[in-house]
Amino acid sequence: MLSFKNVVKVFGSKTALNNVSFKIDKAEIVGFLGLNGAGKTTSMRLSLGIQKPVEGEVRLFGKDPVENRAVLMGRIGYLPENNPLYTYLKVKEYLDFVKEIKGAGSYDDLVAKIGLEDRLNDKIENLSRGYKQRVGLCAALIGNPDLLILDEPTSGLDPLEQEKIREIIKNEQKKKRSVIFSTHILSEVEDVADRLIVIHKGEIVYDGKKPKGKGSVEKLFKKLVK
Amino acid sequence: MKTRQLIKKELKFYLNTLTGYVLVSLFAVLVNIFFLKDLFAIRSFQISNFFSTIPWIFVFFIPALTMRSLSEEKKNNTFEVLLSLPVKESQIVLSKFWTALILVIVGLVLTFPALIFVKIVSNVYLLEILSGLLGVVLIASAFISFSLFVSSLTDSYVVSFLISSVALMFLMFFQSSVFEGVISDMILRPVAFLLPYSHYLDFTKGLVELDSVIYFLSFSFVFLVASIINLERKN
Repeated sequence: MLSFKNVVKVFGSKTALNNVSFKIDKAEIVGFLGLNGAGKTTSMRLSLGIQKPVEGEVRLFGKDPVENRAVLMGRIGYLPENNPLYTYLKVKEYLDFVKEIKGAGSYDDLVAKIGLEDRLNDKIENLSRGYKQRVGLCAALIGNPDLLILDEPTSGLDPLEQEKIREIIKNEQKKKRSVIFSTHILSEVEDVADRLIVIHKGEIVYDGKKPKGKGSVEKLFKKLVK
Repeated sequence: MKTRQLIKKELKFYLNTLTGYVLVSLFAVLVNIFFLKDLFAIRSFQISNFFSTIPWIFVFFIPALTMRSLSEEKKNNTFEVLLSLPVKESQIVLSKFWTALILVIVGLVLTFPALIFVKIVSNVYLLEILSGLLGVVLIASAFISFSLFVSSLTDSYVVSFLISSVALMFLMFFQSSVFEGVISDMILRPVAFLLPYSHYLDFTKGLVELDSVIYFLSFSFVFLVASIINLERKN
């Protein structure tokens, strides 16, 4: 579904990604871990073709996402970091906009599952952070995307909201969808992911199965980024 | 189809917030004030004066309309949201262009009562009014595409507004009498020919010249393409 081969990305004099290679297959839930500025968001933007690598190759569904962005995005659901939204729109107006742009069908079931039925006529700017996150996630899920890319989907949410979002992510695997999500909450990876990629200072330092046992992800992560 | 959805979203910004109402009303009020000034203060009315005033108002009105178009999308990261949807950069730019043009036309429609009044009480030809309106729409298109291009260059809508306004004002001033005698006619004339106002003046006199129509369409096309290329440039 998504592959990076020896990808290098440089911003000015700073190397954001250095020789990064990994592959995401169908129905995988991959936790993408790293400290701030490690290269997680850059990797996600490269996956979408929003940014272009300096060296190496990114392939999304076998195609170059930079050249084919507008076509490939119909198969992607993306929740960016900090969840930027058109706050002047009502929830329904925003979801209708995404639905029509994606050429998708009804999103009524999705809204019910995510718990937004009562908020459809609210202006996005009046929603709490948790509800805004639900709106962003709902928009990402519209159109049954094959791959979900979620950049810190539970950041800043209370524990109950976090649990709700985790449940939604876990359910996606049952639909044979792949999910790649970044987070700073290590227990979240333990709970949700079945594979772990750790990126540190622009390089992949771990790519493999999630270690078993409570607290094992945290132990591994601390060892890798020390 | 997707451009239409994008235009719908853009228009909702102006419908759901005060910005659109304030900007369009302000434009209509200013145009009508200039109209009434001629009619009641000077007690004469020339339709060409009415139309030649409008581009001066556009110098501020259009950058105010377009300043948030691309700059704000980039600043708020909603541009990243747009790029994660199956839309092309060209559709994004065109939707911004059409939205601004629709708002200009709404503003113009608000001046229609004044124009109808003039038509009834004076001997202005309808074709003079129609050619003037066509000129207004064409110069608005050129100014919108230029301001959109500026908006695509920066994340700051204040910078976008200032650069667009100053540049448009320069374009407007350059062929006015301000430079007559200061800059040689040898330079002023050919340069003025390349700038929008001299082409626009034909329309205010009731003349629809094909080369002026082509000039405005080309001007708009060049800056729209430049905006698209600028957005397509990957970091």
